[in-house]
Amino acid sequence: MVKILQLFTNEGQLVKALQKGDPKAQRYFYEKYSARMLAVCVRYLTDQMEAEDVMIEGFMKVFERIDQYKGEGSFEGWMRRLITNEALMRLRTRRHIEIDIDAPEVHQQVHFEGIENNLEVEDLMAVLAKLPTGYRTVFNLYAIEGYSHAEIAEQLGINESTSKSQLHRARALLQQMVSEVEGLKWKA
Amino acid sequence: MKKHPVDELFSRKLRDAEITPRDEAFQKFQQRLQTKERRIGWWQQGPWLAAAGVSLLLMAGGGWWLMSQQPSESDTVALSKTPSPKIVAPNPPQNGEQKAVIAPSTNELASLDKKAKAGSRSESQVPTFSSATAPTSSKSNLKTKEVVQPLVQETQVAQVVETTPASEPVKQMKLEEPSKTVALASAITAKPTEKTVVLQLPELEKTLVAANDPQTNVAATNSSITDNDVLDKPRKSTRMAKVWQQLKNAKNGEKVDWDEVGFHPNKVVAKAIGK
Repeated sequence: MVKILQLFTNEGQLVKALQKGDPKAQRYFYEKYSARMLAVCVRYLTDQMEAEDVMIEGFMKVFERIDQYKGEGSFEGWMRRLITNEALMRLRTRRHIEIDIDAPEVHQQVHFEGIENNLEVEDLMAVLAKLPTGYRTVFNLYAIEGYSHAEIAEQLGINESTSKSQLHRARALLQQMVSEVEGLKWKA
Repeated sequence: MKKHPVDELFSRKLRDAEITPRDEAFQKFQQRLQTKERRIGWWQQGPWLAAAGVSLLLMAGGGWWLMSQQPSESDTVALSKTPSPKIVAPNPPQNGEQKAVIAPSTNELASLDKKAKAGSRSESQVPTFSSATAPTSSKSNLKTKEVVQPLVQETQVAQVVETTPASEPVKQMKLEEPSKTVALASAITAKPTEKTVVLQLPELEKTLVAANDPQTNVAATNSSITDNDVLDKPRKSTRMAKVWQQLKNAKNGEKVDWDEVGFHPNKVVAKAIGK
């Protein structure tokens, strides 16, 4: 393993080795990116086993299309986009994306400053998993992945206004749930 | 543009979050890689496969060429086992016609004629034998014409038998007087249609023997074909075949014809270059 790590210290070297279909490079790629990409998949799918399946399929896509990566932008950003698309495809095939237009409005405004430092990654992941699928998907794409509403509308086959309203509702729900979790932690 | 505090919190905490996959996930990943290699491996190994294919083709082609240049034992056997249909299974009219010409020189024909007289006309050979002997014995040229024609129908043959009541005594007479048959044969050769019959005589002797002895049938046909057809054919002799033949001669201790090889060892002069 030490030898493998020494071979691919540079991202460019790793990409070249992957382009040649080098099995060592593929194993190293898994070791380096699997945990991070699994977290991406879990954010969309919530179930870890299903997320692992999607991650592996996404890695196969990365190996298949590695020749398309021309070095423009970061390799991880290019790969993350492929993995995200794979997760969205899985959601689409299982009809998980249902835009919750009739979801109740959140009127409670939570004062958000100063409480987030007490929250761990696991808490935030759990809060995110409680969101309806449509809210969660739009929030993930916009707030974490950095997609525009136009891109989200194209990816999910919805209007931009629908994307905006979904994001607004997602934020409100997350604020509410985070404050609840924070309150519970504070009491404990 | 300032980020929303919720977006900022989740992005900062979760963007680079990590969840370690289970060991089963790595095993699954390995399996997927192996199946992918197996699925696309054969065309991704293109250059090696192409080289292997070309070398295999060259080897197969070279081997085939060498085999085609050198006649093997199996080739002659294969040739000898494919006799012409007229020898192994002759047509009844032709058979009768052929035997009719040879009939005077065989004693077995007498018994066949006796069978014919006994009334076994259902067999196709018997009436033709009797009919064939009839014209030669009756000395009538018109009747010989009818029999010797290549396509003789059974109805015509039956008529001939009826018109020639006594064939046995005549045949005995012919055996006693061979000069008459020679004269008849010369008379037959005078006509163009009968010439072909006389020319078939050497082959017919062999076929008659083969027909009478079923055990030696295959052997006789095989030997006749290999003797007549295979050896008479002009074989294509290439340089390689000549050299091969001389190699075989040298191996068997026979005389080597160096002219066939293309060079003579006594005439070869070594060239020495001193530097």
